[in-house]
Amino acid sequence: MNRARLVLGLLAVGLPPVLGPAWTIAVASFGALAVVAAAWPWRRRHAAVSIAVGAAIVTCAFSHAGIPALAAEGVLILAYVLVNHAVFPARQFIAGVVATLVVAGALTVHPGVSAWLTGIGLAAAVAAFGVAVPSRRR
Amino acid sequence: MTGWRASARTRQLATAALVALVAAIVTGHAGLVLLAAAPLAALAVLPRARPAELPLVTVAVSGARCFEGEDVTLTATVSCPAADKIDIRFVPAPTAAAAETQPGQWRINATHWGRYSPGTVLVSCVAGAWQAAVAVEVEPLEVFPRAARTRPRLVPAELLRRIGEHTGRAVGDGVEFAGIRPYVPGDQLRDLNRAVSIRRQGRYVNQRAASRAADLVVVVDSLTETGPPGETTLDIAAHGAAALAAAYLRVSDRVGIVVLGGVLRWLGPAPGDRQFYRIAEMMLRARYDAYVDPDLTRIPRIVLPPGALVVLFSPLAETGVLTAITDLRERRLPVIVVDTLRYEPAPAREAKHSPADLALRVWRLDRAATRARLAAMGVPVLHWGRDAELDGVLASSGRIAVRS
Repeated sequence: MNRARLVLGLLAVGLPPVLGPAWTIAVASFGALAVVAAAWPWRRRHAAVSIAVGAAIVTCAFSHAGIPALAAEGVLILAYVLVNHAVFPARQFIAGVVATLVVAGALTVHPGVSAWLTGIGLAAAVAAFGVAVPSRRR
Repeated sequence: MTGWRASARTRQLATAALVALVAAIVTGHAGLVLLAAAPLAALAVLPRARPAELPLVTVAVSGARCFEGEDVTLTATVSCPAADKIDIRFVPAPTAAAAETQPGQWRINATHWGRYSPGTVLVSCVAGAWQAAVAVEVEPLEVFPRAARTRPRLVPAELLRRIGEHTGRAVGDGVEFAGIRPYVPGDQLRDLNRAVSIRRQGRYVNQRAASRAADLVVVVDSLTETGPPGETTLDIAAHGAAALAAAYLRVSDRVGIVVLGGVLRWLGPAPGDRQFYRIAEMMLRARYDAYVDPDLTRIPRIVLPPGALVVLFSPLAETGVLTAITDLRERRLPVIVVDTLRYEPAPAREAKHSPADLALRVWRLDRAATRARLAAMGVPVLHWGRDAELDGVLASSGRIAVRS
């Protein structure tokens, strides 16, 4: 499992710089370090996973990757997060792949950015985070 | 114990989704939403109902008491019906070592005497999007000091009129040869010394020394504790007291204990194996901090029967101990002091005549003066070195040292 974590993590942080500017290699290297750190069984392992995922997304944000490449990167990131736990949840992975395909299809049909979309997207991001993370009060 | 909170997997997926969405909005690159879609979908299918009850952890130890260096088995069981995954870990205390024999079971080796918890059981349960962590501190374990193999070498000159295993000065029914005398009617024929009888042209019989019991009172000075962990003056005193108590109780002597430090604690001399455990339990209480200045001249008479041999384990760092020794000598009790200070203060690295160097030399002179004062009172001071066995240390004293 450790080897799978390492391979998936390095793929997730290593692919985006191929399509991005040279300076993104620095961010990807930082992410690679976090991947290696997350492969060791220590206390802050889970934080290292989050850092590696964050580095991969930031690298993607400044790359020129198209929709197929971003979809593949999204699936890789999901697989990396899920493989970091004792039991690999196939159900969640399949749900993630399906969602990625749906969103990729939608973006292919109507790509575009507007001020309204920005506002709605920001609200959706906050709402998604709030809904997804269970709160202690609930 | 913490309640149910978002699991590490939930937090990682949510973080990935949030970072991707924020990146999409900030850069205006709608394609980045693709990076958020997969984590959000995975979050959506996670079971979201929070379990009603926290995990119930039960910890059982095979014994509440053991000797230093012995093993006890610790078993932890967790009841959490809703959990997908249960992780149990044991974090041993610095004074114990642990090895996992099977999942949820550890063999704990108590490496140090005292009354302490051998460690903490950490349980982490994951149920859907939730996780709970429970920490259970194991009940304190009573670890008795290990008793090194020692012979009861120190014997007071005047022994009690009670049958025991020490060779007394009086003539009696023992096994040790004490002398010869002319035969008188009533003597047993097996005592007849043939060689002497033929040489002296008369009948002579062997005399045997009486076998007598002794009373031993071990005094432990816990007023000061200094030295590296595991080899402090109190550790050395506890091991010495345990070794002497075991040795004398093995030969049917009576052993008592007095702990100088905090509230004065004592245990009158008594024979038997049970007394050893009572002494060991009292030693466990010697380590507790106390803010009471004990009156060391008021050791009860019941603890110190006439003729009892007193062995004091002390680093001789407190003047109060000297008062106690003087009091014991005034009661005409034979006293032996075992010096438990193995490490003196580190010598100064500064110039030879610096104040630190001078202080160290004055301290050494003061200790030499203390030893001389004790010698003048008829109290031998034996130094228990780092590599020496207690048996060897006491062998240098023998019977000459214990005059009353």
